Amino acid sequence: MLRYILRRLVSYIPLLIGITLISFLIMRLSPGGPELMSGFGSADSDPEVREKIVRVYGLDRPLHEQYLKWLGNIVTLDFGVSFQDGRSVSKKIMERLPATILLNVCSLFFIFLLAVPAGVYSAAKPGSFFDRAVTILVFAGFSVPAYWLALIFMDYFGVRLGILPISGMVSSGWDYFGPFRKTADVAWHLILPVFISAFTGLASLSRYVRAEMKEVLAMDFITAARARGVSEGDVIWKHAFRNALLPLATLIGLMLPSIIGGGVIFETIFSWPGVGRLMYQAVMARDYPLIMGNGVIVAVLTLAGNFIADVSYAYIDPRIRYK
Amino acid sequence: MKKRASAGEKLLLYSAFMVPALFIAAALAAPKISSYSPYGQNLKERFAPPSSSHIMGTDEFGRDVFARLIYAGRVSMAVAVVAVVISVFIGTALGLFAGFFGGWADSLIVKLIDIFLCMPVFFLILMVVAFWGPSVRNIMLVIGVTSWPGLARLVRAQVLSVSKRDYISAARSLGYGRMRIIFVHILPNVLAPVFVACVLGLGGAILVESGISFLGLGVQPPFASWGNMLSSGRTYMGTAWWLSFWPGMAIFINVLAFNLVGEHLKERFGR
Repeated sequence: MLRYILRRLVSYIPLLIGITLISFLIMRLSPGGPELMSGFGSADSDPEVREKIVRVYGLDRPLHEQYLKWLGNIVTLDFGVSFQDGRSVSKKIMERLPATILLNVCSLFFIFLLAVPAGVYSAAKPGSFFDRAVTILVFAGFSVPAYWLALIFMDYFGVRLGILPISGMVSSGWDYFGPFRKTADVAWHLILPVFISAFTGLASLSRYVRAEMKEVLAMDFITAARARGVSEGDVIWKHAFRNALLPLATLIGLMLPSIIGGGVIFETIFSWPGVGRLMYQAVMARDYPLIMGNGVIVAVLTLAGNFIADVSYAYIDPRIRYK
Repeated sequence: MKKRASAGEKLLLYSAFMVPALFIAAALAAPKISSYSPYGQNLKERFAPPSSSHIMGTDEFGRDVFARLIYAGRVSMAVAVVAVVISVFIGTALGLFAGFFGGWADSLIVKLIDIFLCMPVFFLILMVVAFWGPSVRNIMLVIGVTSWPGLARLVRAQVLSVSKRDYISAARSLGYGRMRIIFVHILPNVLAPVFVACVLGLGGAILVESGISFLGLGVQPPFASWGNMLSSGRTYMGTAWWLSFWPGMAIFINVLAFNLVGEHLKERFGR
């Protein structure tokens, strides 16, 4: 197992380099990008100022040298300071991370809770009313613009009925609540964003489970199990499902980027204090160091999520370790 | 054994074909369909609910929502088409190249695919928009350049399996050139996933573009896109529902239609 983990870790190195390189190039090759990062205005300002910026920030050095220097900085989590308040970029991001992780873990949990049984039942009875209903719902969730659905739900449950909070993570006065009420309050605020995120993110997993289950159910050992008189429930859950379950771990890894990326819109709409909203605010405020830091950290963390998914896959299915 | 499609499914599929076709036709013939200009303000008629003179109502500047919706369709469809052309081109080219030549080029391309697959694309898009500026051109480019890896992976796998077939060995032993083998013998056999990716990609690109425009970082007013119409309509959700309802509906049914058709093709082609 340890050998497998090490091997995976090594294989992630090129990915890390690729991700940081792409981020660096987006910034460095943009018209006026590096000058923007320095906070001294754009390229058309005073030539003397420009020359100073070029010298101080080493913009006259070759590209690869600049990249390595920048990489050296970000390895130590030094992304510079935010233009808005002069605070360290990495600190600002760390503060926002827990909210994003909480939101995404909850969404993932509900996606699994809904998609797995839905996919399994659909595959067990293809063409049934249940299968059709689920297919329609999944397609609707996949196709609906999430922010539109979010707005409709906010308007209905938050404004008209007034039963669900529509913004932020906690109510005012949260600091004075007892521990139980604190948790309940956060859960209360999670309902809408998690529901929207889970509903719109359901598709890939449930379609996948359905396809995989159908394939497994057509195999000989399933027929054999049925012939031995194993009950249908056992055939589906004990024989077929376990085999269909295996590659799920990899699928989480593939789903992560889109869920986290979609978070920018959810967090902005629901004023959720996470990194997605921070990114939006940074773009709006043209806070370039924060934009860079945020983009890179989120990408690296997504990679870390992928890594966890990989390792847990190998844990569940030992065959993977020897491939 | 292929399951015959029921009458209901057929109807659904035909409507799924018709929806984007109608929207595209309306977008092309926009001035003929609506007598109102999408930018013409009429402050006397602000927030007019849907009626016979303004079938989808008017917005906060008294502009006709229906006219804006059709003109917005031009932008949304154009962005989607260009983005998909870019991504399909990159995806197919890299997939073909990697699958056919193998070796270090293959491992490099596979790594590149992995990198793009595990990056949260929306963050990447925001970075590009922040540094390069929010313009329609940049949005097309960035959606195209970030959405090819899934297709590249599929094409590569397909090429790998096709290359092992006998007719490819036959073509090789006849001394055909590499280019002829790639474009005449392999490419036609990998077109099915490419075609599916085009259709599904259109839906995806519309969603992404509308999302960026919704955040105010895509198509800039006064130009209309479904995303920015929704965004400016959200303020009036309680009082003038039609401002956000129609653009939301337009995105929804178009994306749904592309997804249904794409999924249908996928099943027809046997995945």
